[in-house]
Amino acid sequence: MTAFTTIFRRDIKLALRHRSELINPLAFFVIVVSLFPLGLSADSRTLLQLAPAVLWISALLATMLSLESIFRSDYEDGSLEQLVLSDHPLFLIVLGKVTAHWCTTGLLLTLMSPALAISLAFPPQNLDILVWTLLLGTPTLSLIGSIGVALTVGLRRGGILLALLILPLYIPILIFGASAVDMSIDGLDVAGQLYLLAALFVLSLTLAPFATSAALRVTLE
Amino acid sequence: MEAVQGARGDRVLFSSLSFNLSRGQLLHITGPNGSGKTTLLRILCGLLTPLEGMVRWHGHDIRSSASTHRRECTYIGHRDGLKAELTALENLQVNARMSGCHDTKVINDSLRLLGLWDYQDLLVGHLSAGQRRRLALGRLLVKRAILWILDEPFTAIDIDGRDIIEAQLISHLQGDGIVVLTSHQALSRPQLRERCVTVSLQ
Repeated sequence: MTAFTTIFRRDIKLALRHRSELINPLAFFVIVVSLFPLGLSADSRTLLQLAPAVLWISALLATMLSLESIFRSDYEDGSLEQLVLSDHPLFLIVLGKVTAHWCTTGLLLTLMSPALAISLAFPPQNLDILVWTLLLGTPTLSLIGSIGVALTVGLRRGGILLALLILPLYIPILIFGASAVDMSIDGLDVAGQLYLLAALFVLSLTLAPFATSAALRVTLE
Repeated sequence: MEAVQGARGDRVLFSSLSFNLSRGQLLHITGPNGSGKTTLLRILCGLLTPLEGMVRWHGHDIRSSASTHRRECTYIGHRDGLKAELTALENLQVNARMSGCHDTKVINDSLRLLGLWDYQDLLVGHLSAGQRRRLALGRLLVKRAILWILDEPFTAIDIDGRDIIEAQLISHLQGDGIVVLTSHQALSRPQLRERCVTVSLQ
């Protein structure tokens, strides 16, 4: 556990000292979501129809934008070698890094989403479902994303490859997340979708750290 | 280490390389740029898998006894592995905690010994290259591993710093440690030279 907490605290501290990297995905999220009411007609019914998809797609893309930061600087300054060579289990270190990444992106996106949802004429009584789907979905995005970053961090221009690798895996989360929000607006029961999102989260939490560790060892060869 | 063949990409850098190191010995790897010194060190610390042969530690293949090997080995690569946004002290604290050292006295003593005590609250990004190198070598002092693998430890380091590090190497060897290093300069201290084995790569 020392490895997890040490790395988690180190990465949170680094994120707080690297303000621009912290703010970039959040600013992206705010800008994209708030452009929709401007670009579309002010008709609240059209906005509401698009709201779940807009919020979820923006959150997904904002997370993708920030993924590289999980391992990029550690790879470049040689810290990653040291982490791989430390005698702590690598999956705990990876888990610490991914948790820190989620706290500085996914969690903040989730906290900001209600305010942005209101600007899309989102009904206030359904905000809790939106927050729940993002709270269950964004950690999965970070976990799956870490595998892709671990594989591509050694490449100079890995950005597009990362998107190609990761997006297909993100699609189920997007579908369940956005459809749950959509159905809740129509007054339907969404427990099924939420359980599925939770199941995907648990699955990625158990498997992704090991896959990421293996990918990191390959990347450093 | 037995019949190791190392390669980068498709190019074989060395093959059938074998040597044995025992406690208290220093291995100095020499060779021109691009001869595979760093590759050899990365194979020794387990980051790279050799194309052929194997590296043994206490007689066991390091791939099968990876955790023992990692616990008893410290590798300082040519990149310092320091975070520019953390202070010197914070960097060393993270490194110490990751190697199981929770003693603030050890950390403080290491900073003093490396001549970084007055700079402990400066961000590493603001330190000079030599100071960063010293701080990277601080990892050796907080982990106290048996095997030290050092890639060009004296790069960017001044004469005083070199003295400090060589003194540490001597005391490590006298304490039955093992050192493997690459360096373009010859070792200056006789205590180091008498324990030194040299391997030249072409």
